[in-house]
Amino acid sequence: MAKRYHVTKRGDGWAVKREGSQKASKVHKSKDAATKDAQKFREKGSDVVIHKRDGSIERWQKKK
Amino acid sequence: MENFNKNIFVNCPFDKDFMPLLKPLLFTIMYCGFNPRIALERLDSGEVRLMKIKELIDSSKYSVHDLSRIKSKGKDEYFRLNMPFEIGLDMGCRLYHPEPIYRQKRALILETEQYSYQKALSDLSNSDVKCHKGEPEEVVFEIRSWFSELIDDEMPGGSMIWDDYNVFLTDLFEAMKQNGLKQKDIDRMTIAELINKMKTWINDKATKPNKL
Repeated sequence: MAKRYHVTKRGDGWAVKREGSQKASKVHKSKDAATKDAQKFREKGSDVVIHKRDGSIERWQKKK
Repeated sequence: MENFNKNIFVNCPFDKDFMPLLKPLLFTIMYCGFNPRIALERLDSGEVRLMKIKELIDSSKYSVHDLSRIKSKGKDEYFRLNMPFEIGLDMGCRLYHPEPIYRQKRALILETEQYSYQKALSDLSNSDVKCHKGEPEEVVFEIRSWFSELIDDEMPGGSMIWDDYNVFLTDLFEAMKQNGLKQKDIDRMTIAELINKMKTWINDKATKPNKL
């Protein structure tokens, strides 16, 4: 199973975080910025799961 | 009384708009080691609703009451009285039940806008009231912080619970998809089913990579 990075709501911003990691790799002001930032992990072979504000799945981008 | 110290009576709206808040609320309760008791946990059309509520209140030391629907949003819309009514039953049980154990009952009141409850239900002044602003993430943090004030045990952090809730939904989505189901099937899952899925995931989380 590919590693998964999640783009999730975090306070006033949006976090990019590897599943199982203690800390977010970065917290962005906007969801768009977080989604763009997460693409670098997709390039490296991870799935990126983009969540809605309530945690449900908006998009699941499979690894490249 | 079985599990009295671990049971939490959940008194909240069951409408579609509240589901994004109810789901993380239930997840947080279970993640912190407690057992949610909610009218939707079993569907028995022959059961008298008031008796079901009474049983949930009787069996729960703790309760969470959400007053988000205390104010109607539009003209001619009725505000919802079930939640205030059931707070009254729960408080009455604490004050009047002949068994002394019920004096230990503790309640958390949630609202969307800060201090709105004081305008509609000022008798509840000096109660534990927290505001979630209609944000699912805030529900997690507020429930978790209430537990940490009540209980000596160390609680997991709010961020950890919220992140794990997002992972749980991802695993659930993947498992359902593998069974040919879609997001709308997850959305229509009954609360009883969802509680079971959450329990399984939380119990297995530490040891198994594929949790559902």
